[in-house]
Order: sequence, then structure tokens, then C-alpha cells
Amino acid sequence: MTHLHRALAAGVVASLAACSGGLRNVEAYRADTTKLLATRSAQLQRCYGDALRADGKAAGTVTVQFVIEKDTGAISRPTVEPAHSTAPPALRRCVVKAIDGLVLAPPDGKEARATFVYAFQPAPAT
Amino acid sequence: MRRWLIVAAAGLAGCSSPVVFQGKSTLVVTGPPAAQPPRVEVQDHKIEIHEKIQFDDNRATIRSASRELMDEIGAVITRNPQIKRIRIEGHASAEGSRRHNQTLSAARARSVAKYLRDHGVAAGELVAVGYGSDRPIADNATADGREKNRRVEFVIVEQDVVHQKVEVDAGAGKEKVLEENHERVKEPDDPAAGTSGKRPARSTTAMHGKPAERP
Repeated sequence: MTHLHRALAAGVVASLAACSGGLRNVEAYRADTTKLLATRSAQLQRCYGDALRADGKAAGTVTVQFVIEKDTGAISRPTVEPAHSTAPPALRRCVVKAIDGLVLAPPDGKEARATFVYAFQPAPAT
Repeated sequence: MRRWLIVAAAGLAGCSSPVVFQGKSTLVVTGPPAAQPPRVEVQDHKIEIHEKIQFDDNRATIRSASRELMDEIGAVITRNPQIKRIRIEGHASAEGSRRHNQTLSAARARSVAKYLRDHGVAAGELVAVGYGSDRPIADNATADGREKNRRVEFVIVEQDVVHQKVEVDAGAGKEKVLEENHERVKEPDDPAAGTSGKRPARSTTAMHGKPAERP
């Protein structure tokens, strides 16, 4: 093995070591993100309450996509996917506001791109 | 050497690609429960009860299942001091003899009045009357109709009302009371006497406190 080969081998090992900074596999990332989003359920309830006050029949889905920044774990660039969202516009905006700024802890060495669907539905009649 | 480069590049590329995933299931947000309409509400000339008072079969005994409702009726009457007198009307379906229905409906009306008196409603406010099957509100030929006809109604026969003359500021949309008159309004004791008695318009009752007459 030449010196060059040794250097390249070291580079590969180093790069793989850097990759191992990712703590979570997909399942763990999904589960942790779901838990994180659940911390905003009160805000989302308020969002829906406001929407229902504006329109008593307000309901529908909001499909939201966002990035979880590597190293910081911050949720950033949340956007609504209009083609897969049926909720009123004000409710969509409220969802984006509610989840923006959340931080996944501990952060992961890998960036994630996540898609979640919220369904807003009235309370069942009693 | 080329092989090493490919491996290194692949390793680095895998490292920089983001994790992509979707939520496993839809996150459901359920709205707050809809406000329940009141079970007992004061209307212009009656106390509307959106639930039936239940009695033992063929008797005037109020079932325990209706005690909460009865307490609510008592509380509503007490909370509305403008109501001075209530006629508690017992009604029956056409099932059975006319005489029996008359007796049973009167006994049920008295039973309701007694319960309310025993639970704090002033005795002078309540008059119990039985109308038997003479005043149906539904078809006695069907079971559903007969069930509707078996009922107790609360008619306000005497109450204080407030008449207000109000001026509305078109610009600000604010109302200014120009004149206010209080009046004791009475219904005829027997509805068979007709409906010529003065009936307060919805907006005139003191309970609502809304303007009654507008210039």
C-alpha cells in the first residue's frame, strides 16, 4: 500500500466517522419528531378554535413540510403543501407558525426533511 | 486508486444526504366540544324545556332520572325574578279514558309544582293545571305523536317587562336609551279564553334587557 493509498483510506475512515454523528435512523427521527410536534398541540387547538370561531364548519387537512437542521435540531423552513391541504388558509398559516422554531433535542448530525399531515375535525356530537 | 476514490466519494455523499421521512399517521386535532344548547330556557311567555320530565308509568311520581332537570328548572325560575307567575300545564295523550287522562295530567302538574316549591321556588309563583288530552301537539294515531303529547309545559302568566325607547347612532352603531318603562304583563289564566292577553314581544322582556320600542 502506497502512502497515497494510506491517505485515502484514512480519508474514507474519517468521512465515515463524521457520518456517524447522525444519532438516529429514520424510525427514530420520525418518532422523536412526532413527539416534538406533540408539544405544540395546545397551540394547534387554539388555531382550530380560532378557525371554528370564524367558520363553525371549518375542518380539513394541513400537510406541512419542514427541515430539521443538523447540529442544531431546529425546525426550519416549514411550508404547507397546498395540493395536499384542504383546511382554510388562516388555519394553514397558524400551523406553520405553531411548529416553526421547535428544536429537536439532542440534535442529530444529519439534516432531515419531514412531512406531516394534520387533520382538523370538529368534536363528535354528543 | 480509482476504486478508493469512488468509495470515499460514495461515503461522503451518503453522509451529506438528508434523512427523509413522513409522519407515520395523520395528527388529528379535534375541535372543542360544541356548546350545548341550554336544557331549560326562558322564552317570551314560557319556559321551554328541551327534555321531557319523566314520570312513573300511569302515576304522578317524578322519576329520579328527572331530578336534575327539575332542579335546573327551579334554578332558572329563581334566576329570573321578573317572572311572577307560572302555569304548570300537564298534558296527556289520547290513550285511556278522558277522565283518567284529565286526573293524571293534573296530578303530574301538581307533582311538578310541589317539587319546585319544595326546592325553593316561591309557592305563589306556581299554578298547576291538568288539561288531559284536550290539547294535543302531535298526532295521537302514532306512538311518536302520543309520546309528544304526554308532556308538561311551563307558561309564564305574569312577568315584569321593560319597554325601552332607543336611539341608534348610525355612525358609531351605539344605542342610547331615551325612555324606559316597566310594566307587569299578564296572560289570561285560562288559555281557552283566547290569546288576547298582552304578550310581551321577545325584545321587551326584562330578562333580555334589549330595547323594546324603536323610534
